[in-house]
Amino acid sequence: MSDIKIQPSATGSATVTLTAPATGTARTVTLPDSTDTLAINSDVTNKLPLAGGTLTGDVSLVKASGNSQILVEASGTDAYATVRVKNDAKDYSMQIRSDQSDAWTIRDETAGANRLLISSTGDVTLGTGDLIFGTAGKGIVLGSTTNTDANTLDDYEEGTWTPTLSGTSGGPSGVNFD
Amino acid sequence: MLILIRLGWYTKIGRQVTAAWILGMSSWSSGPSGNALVSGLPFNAMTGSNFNMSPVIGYSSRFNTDNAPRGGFLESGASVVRLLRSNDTSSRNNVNTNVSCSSLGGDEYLYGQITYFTA
Repeated sequence: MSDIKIQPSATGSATVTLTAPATGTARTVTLPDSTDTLAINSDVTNKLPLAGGTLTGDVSLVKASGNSQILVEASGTDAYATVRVKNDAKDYSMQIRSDQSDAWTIRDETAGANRLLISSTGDVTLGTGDLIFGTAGKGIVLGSTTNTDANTLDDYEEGTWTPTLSGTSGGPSGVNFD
Repeated sequence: MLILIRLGWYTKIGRQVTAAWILGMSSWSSGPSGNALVSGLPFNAMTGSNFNMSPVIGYSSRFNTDNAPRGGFLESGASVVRLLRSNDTSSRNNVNTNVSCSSLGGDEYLYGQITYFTA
């Protein structure tokens, strides 16, 4: 048995409009089609998954005015909310992880390691690596909420040097060290 | 057997440098002249008039009695420590006289440390 229901509310009507363009291909809506997708026109590669499935083209979310967002919500207790990006080499996820006290986490799924965590109280933890600045001379501002040079720790170095006992009017030569 | 004792270590945090050294010589074919320095610090000191910072001399050996370094100062804009001794043989007197290279024999030991600022 199949039903199509168009149900108005108490205060508003419910309308489904399928408009064929003046020119070009006719428009058809099939809900759902054989692969659990909503076919939005006759082009079979342009389908919106209803549950599971894969979009094969780029997706843009464009809102003409006001703020825009994509919400990924895991409403179950201790469930992870995840946005995942991957290519042929690496697989990363951005998650809220309950096993990390609900920290916002960037996780290297390929390596199975959390790389960056921001806790629910704002603490930032690097999971496994060092913090490297891409531009020399940049640093960490400590004890100030504005970027002031006097509060910026911008250099650290440790190493060895070679001392010499020399003189103001000439150095020694042929020195042997005991 | 000749054992090298000519080592220096440093840590730089921001503009502050802490450098330590151990220096032990057995001989030289030709000694330095003028006033004695420890040279080769890893960074030049901040430049400024009357800007001096002083080392801690933790150990010295084989210097002539009246020429043993007890302190010094970092030369402005340079990477050398000028060594100073007491102005006479009493260790209680002022430490404001240059250690003379002419009294060095080339077999001295000198361990020290200095904290200073770079530009």
